[in-house]
Amino acid sequence: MATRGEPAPAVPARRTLDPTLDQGVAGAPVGGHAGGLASLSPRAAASAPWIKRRATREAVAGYLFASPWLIGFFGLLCFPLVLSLYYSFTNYSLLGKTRFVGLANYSALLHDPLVAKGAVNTVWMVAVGLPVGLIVGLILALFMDLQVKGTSLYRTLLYVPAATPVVAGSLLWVWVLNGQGGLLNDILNLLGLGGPNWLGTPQWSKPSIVIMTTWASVGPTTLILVAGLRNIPVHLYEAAVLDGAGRIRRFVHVTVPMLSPTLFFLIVTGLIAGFQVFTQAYVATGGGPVNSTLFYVYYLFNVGFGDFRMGYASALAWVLFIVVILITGIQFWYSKKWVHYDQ
Amino acid sequence: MYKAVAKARRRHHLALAIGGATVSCILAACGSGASSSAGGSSGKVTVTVWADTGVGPTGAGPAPAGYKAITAAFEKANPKIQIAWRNYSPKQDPSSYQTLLTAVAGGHGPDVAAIDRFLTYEFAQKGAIQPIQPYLSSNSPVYAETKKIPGASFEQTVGGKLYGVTFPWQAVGFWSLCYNKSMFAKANLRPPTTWSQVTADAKALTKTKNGRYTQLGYEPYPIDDTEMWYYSQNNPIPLVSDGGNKANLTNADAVRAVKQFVAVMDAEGGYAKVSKFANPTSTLPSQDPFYTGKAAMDACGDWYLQTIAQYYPKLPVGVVPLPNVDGGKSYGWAGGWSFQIVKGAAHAKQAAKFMQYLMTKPATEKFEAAYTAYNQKHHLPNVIIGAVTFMYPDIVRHDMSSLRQTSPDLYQAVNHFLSVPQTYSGVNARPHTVAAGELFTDFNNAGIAAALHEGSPAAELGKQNTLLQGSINGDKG
Repeated sequence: MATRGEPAPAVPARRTLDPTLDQGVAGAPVGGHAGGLASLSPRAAASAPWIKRRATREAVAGYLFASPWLIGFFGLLCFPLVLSLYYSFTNYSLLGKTRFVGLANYSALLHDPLVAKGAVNTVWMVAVGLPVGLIVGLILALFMDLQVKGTSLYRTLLYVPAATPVVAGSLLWVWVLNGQGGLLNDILNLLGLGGPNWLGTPQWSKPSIVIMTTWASVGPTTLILVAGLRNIPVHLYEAAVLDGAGRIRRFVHVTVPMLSPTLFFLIVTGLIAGFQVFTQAYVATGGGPVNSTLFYVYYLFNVGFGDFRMGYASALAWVLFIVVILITGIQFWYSKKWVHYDQ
Repeated sequence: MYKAVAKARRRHHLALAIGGATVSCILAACGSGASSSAGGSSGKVTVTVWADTGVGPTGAGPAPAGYKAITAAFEKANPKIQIAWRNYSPKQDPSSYQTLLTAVAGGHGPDVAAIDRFLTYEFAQKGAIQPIQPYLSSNSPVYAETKKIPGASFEQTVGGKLYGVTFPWQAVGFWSLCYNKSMFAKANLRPPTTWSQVTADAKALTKTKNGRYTQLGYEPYPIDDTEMWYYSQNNPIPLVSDGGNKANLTNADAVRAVKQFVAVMDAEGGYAKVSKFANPTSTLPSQDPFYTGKAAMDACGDWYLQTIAQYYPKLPVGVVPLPNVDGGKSYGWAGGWSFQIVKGAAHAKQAAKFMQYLMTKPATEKFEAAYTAYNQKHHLPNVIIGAVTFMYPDIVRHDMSSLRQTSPDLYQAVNHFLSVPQTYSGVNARPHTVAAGELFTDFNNAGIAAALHEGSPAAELGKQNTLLQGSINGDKG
């Protein structure tokens, strides 16, 4: 970094025990310890009582500053996580007595047809929703990368859905997708195309949820892809042009490989989010019609907070957790074959 | 100099950190919102009641005016008890029950909550509610009045103990067939008495223009309640047996009921198109084609008349008993809501006192007076309906003459519900089962799937029967 003539980054003085950094801006010694420590060995310097006191005070201050986060992390994340693992081996119901049931919950979910239904619906959402979101995001990112007039405005507008609360956005889509008087079907009718009963039939309910989730996520996806596109060195395109590559070849052989780390990030995070799809179905369809939008997490929620079978819900949650971890691990392993980090 | 500054800065940082941590702890501690009640230095007890806008004074309209009146009267007679109503809306948003149950489990629930009566058994089994019986004297009027309301005594009694009360102004269902008199007169048709006539009339009264509906013959009931339509037609269909432990959706009567539903939907052009027009996912009257005069028939209950009186007083509504297979007397089906004392209620005794008061005749008269005054002030038809028609029919008849003059259609409709004991051959209540919610959802799902021709009625009922049995087993486990 320094070889490029950039100034060296400033080192925060109070985060080191280097005595020279306790000097003033002019480099003059400040205070009674100035110069004194320079003659001590590092071990002796570290064991000096006043340094120990100061280090302790700083440590206490640091932990106190971090305490809101630490309390949240351990109290609201780690503790419930471990507790849910324990509950997954019990019949915990919040209201009744808790009894250890061993692997009964895990055995039961293997035979629960609604678990299978929820899993199939969720896999459908991931298999269709994730590619759709990425393709739409990539197309928009390519347009945004053209740097036409008003790009910053388009970027802001694109991000508005992501800043809209999911429930509010879902309610908006309930109106847009209304079969009889919805905006989308009104537009389709004007074009002479009879729109379907979006949220009212099993055939169209999941595509409707894909539209809703894509709308909500396309802003961040596009912005991340735009950042990725702008990191691609121009000389690679210039070299490709000299080699006679057309637009499509440049996209396939330069853009996509150079964008692969960004795509990999979006696939990993999108897949995790896809497995947790819930709010849109909860608000817009209630899991229906005929369980066609009963996603895995929705069923988990119903079991836990509807039936109060918290033990069973915990088992469902842990199975999902393990599946997501496994799939993410496979993605990382496979990424070596298609993700290029070299610039 | 530097040391002093550094020391002061450190102290400042430490103070900030301690302050920040303290504030965050306080904020975290203040996170939960629900609270029950407070005694206070005055010794006054606050009984918290969670109820829908129509079942409490939190909304607008004649019913909230009535609730305000009886709350004030009760508080005046019992100066040491204060009633705090909070709106929660299971009718509009079923997740409200999850809010309630979570609050109860967390020890922050109300004293009293309104729930659909058929959930009493399930909630009692979950341990979310407690019987009112220990707080009542043996000669409490609650017992006698509850017995007058069809289905209420059965639905509210679990393990030989009475849970909660049905308030006189609560709807009791008695599913019937609402029809648009003008549409039938224009088509020169009489209201159907058999389901085959319903199918024929639905076809005759369905109109389209450029491939889009302008009028629907028969409207499927909104949300997850079409099952009541099937259920009513051949009552009593044993949807669960063996004391609520065995799913029984595949019985011949249920299959016949779903076939009937499919036939009606097909006669109108298919469920996919019908549901697109009828928007069954919405319970808003403004999106309901029957209320807005775009559907000729709808399975309905007594609460329809309250909605019509308040929002669509000009609708030419007629009400007849639900048709059946052979055109004979209908077998009725009743539902309704009730107030329940939740588990861990801080003031169960005072809550029971208030609930008992709600069922008395003086309270009902006070409610009626405020309800009628509101309607007169806003020039609305004064439709008095609900459990009161069985408990205190004289109060219902009290103001019928003015209704006859202002709204003859609604007058006839109210009379239909007043004459239910004579016109129906019997009445059935909803069954006791730990999977009450799933029972209706699963039955409804079978009907929709069959109507969409995803499978035969028997096959779809078979699929849903498996799910229902799973729910029963799971909840029991």
